[in-house]
Amino acid sequence: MQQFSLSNYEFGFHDKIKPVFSTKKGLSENVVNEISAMKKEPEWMRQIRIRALSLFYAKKLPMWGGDLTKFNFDDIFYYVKPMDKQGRTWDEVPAEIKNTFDKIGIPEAEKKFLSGVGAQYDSEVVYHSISKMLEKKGVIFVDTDTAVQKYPELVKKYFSTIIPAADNKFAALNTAVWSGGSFIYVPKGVRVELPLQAYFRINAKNMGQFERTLIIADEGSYVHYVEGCTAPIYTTDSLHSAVVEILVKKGARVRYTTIQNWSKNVYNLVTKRMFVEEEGFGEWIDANLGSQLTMKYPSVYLKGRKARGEILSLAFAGAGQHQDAGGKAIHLAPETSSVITSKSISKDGGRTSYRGLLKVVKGAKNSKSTVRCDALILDPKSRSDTYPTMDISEERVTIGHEASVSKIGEDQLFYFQSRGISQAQAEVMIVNGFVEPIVRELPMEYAVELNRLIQLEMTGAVG
Amino acid sequence: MLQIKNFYISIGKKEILRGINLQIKKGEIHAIMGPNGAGKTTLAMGIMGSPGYNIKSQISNLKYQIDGEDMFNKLPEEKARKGLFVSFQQPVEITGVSVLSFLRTAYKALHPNEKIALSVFKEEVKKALKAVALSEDFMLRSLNEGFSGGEKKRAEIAQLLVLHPKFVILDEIDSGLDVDSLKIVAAVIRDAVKKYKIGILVITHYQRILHYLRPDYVHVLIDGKIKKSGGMSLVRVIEKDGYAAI
Amino acid sequence: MKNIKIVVKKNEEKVVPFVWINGSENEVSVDARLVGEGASLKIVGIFLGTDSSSIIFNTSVVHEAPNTKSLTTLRGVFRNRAIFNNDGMVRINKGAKGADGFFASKILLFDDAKGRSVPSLEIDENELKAGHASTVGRPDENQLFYLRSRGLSEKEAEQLIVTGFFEPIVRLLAPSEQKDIRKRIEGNL
Repeated sequence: MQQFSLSNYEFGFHDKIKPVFSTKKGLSENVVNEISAMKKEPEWMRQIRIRALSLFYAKKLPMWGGDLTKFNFDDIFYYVKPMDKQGRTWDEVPAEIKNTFDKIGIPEAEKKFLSGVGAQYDSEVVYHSISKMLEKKGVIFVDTDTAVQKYPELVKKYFSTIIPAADNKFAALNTAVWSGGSFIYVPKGVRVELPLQAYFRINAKNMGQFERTLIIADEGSYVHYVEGCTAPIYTTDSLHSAVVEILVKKGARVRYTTIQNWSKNVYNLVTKRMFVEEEGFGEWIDANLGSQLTMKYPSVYLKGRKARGEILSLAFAGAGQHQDAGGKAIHLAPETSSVITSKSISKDGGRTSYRGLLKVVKGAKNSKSTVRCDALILDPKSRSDTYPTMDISEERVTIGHEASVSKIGEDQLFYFQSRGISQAQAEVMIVNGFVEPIVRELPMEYAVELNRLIQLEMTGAVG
Repeated sequence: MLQIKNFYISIGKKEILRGINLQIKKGEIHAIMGPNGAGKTTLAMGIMGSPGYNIKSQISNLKYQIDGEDMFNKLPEEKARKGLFVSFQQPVEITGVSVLSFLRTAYKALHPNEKIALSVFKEEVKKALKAVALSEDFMLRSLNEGFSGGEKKRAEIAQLLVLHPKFVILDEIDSGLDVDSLKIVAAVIRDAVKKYKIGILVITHYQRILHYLRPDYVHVLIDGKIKKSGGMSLVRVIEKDGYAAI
Repeated sequence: MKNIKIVVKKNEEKVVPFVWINGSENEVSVDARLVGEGASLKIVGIFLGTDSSSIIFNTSVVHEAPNTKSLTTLRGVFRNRAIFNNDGMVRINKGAKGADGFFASKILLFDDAKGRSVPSLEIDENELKAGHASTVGRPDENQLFYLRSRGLSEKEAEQLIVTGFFEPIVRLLAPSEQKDIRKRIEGNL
């Protein structure tokens, strides 16, 4: 009979592994409570999480969009304490990621940060000087965990009011297990000229799977928030399900720019919504380059008279990728206007799908909307779909939608070649030209990096 | 010298040109006139190698050379790099690619051993635009996008001035240009010919531009063949009695 | 629920008109397949709805062979509480090289009428041309203004615009059918 010694078990097994304070794999009420406890959250937030968890269990997966059948919710860690994310060494980062960094020209420190190697990025220094400037103006810019502790009244007032947990399965999931993300409050009349960037304030530790961002722009204010970056984010996390809620109050303006380039093993399922009040202006600039499957439809709810919304969506799908993206504009008040522009490119068997909703309710008189979706399919293996829905219940409106799908025109290629430019180079220039109307809205450094990234993707220099 | 011998060009299965012979030396201006449907644009597109325009290769005595080098199976960009330039009848529009970046990339491809600083290059482009009476703004506009017919034609000429080709084919440069633009473009071309010894093949729609350009040789293309070649006198004959006179 | 199946064979050209003027059918689906090389199809839909009539008109055009061409063009005028619902799919299968598929819909709404339109594209082949254009709303402001500047009242201007509204697609039909359809439209305006 074998003797099972407790001492063997305790030491023989454990001493090879560092103690890890993370939740086990899979989701349960225990896990959610543990998360809340680890963050030392007030009871009201824990309640929000628990309620959201039951909604998550109750809701079904969407039957449309990408293929989620292979996804196993029990096979992921819902919360990993920051320290553990640094276990990676530079050697473990895949070569193709390192190559891309070099080719895009990312500086040394950033490379380490982006691949989860570096503990802290110099961003700390940058962040501190920016926050002094913001403090003077009364602008709040912290991570959401901190906001719950420091500004509970503000958070309580707006959290989940724009995207309730019951909205969809992934909103419920996020509400139950969220961690990290940004909280921004801009007081009345204050304009923040410098674009606020996510990684000023966080370091690799907090690059979360379930970020929860909340931005409140009070009357007449302006802020531009930039999330993500062009360099590929290497992560072993397979599910990223963020929620972004934005309230644009009367006469305010918010621009939210996202450049998503998660590694190709990630399922990226995000719910993003802006409520735009009277005379407000909300803009989404959404560039999707990475991930295995992205399902994301930033939306603007135009709730007040003369509210405006603009959604610029760029999607690039290479081998094994499916970008299911688009935008929604809901006109709930008179004289509102929206513009949705989508540009997508698919190559090497990739698939891009534009999914959009344009809804005008009765009473939204004299509203206008223009939707324009253009898709380029670069080779016979690839695929492109367009599913735009227009739901109009008000007669006094002007609504237009146009879409086109094609490959790069032979006559365009020929024109370039007739001037001495090779076909390969011409294709890169034409594709960059195709996305130019969206790229030109990005902050300069991103625009440059994005152009270079497209070039790399086109010439097959990225794996 | 740009030399074409025994060119049979078809679009798909339809034969358009039947046995064309042309020899254009540096500094010479040749003109091609002919009624609509004669195959004039086909000649320009066939020479440059536009997809869809096929040069019949099983013909004996077939020759296509630029400066003694065979141009047969060369790609369009290879022909361009040998110094060939076509000003198109309907220049294509390319969104998001500025005239400047297009020209810069083309220049680098055509003259790889020359290094010009961007600021200097920009001045060249501005000069070229000015020469054809286009404002500087055109430099940063998307290539041909939203340009009027006349502006497109003049922009093609501006490209020629920047890229320094050796042999130029102007496909109906005169359609879409008013009298004043015609005079300007003709003057610019004559100037370029004199200065750089460019060989030019002007394919015309109307004859008027020929009075300003004063070609050295005139060829009349009817029904896919060059029916007659001569000098400016040929132009006057056609003006008086039409193509039937040939 | 009425289902119309259309198969267009090699080099065949078909023009399929569908005219609905407060019709009794509430749900119609058109399933068209272009199965042979060179097949060409035009679906022309003319809709006039008033009071509480409603129609769900769904079209699906699938290009299964190379060099096939399709045009689905729908125009409708809906008043009072009429409702128009359309799912218009154009699909280009892999291998259907040189296919050219286009979907266009133009809907004018008056009073409390509602319109829902989902023009979708599913493209599995890159040597192709496909597109769609859809507008919903009131008659063009500029057109109204021009007519009013020539003395017409707003109502008269609208009437004139609506009368001419269907003309561009009526012209796509066979000459023998055009006269009849024009009469039916005018009678109902």
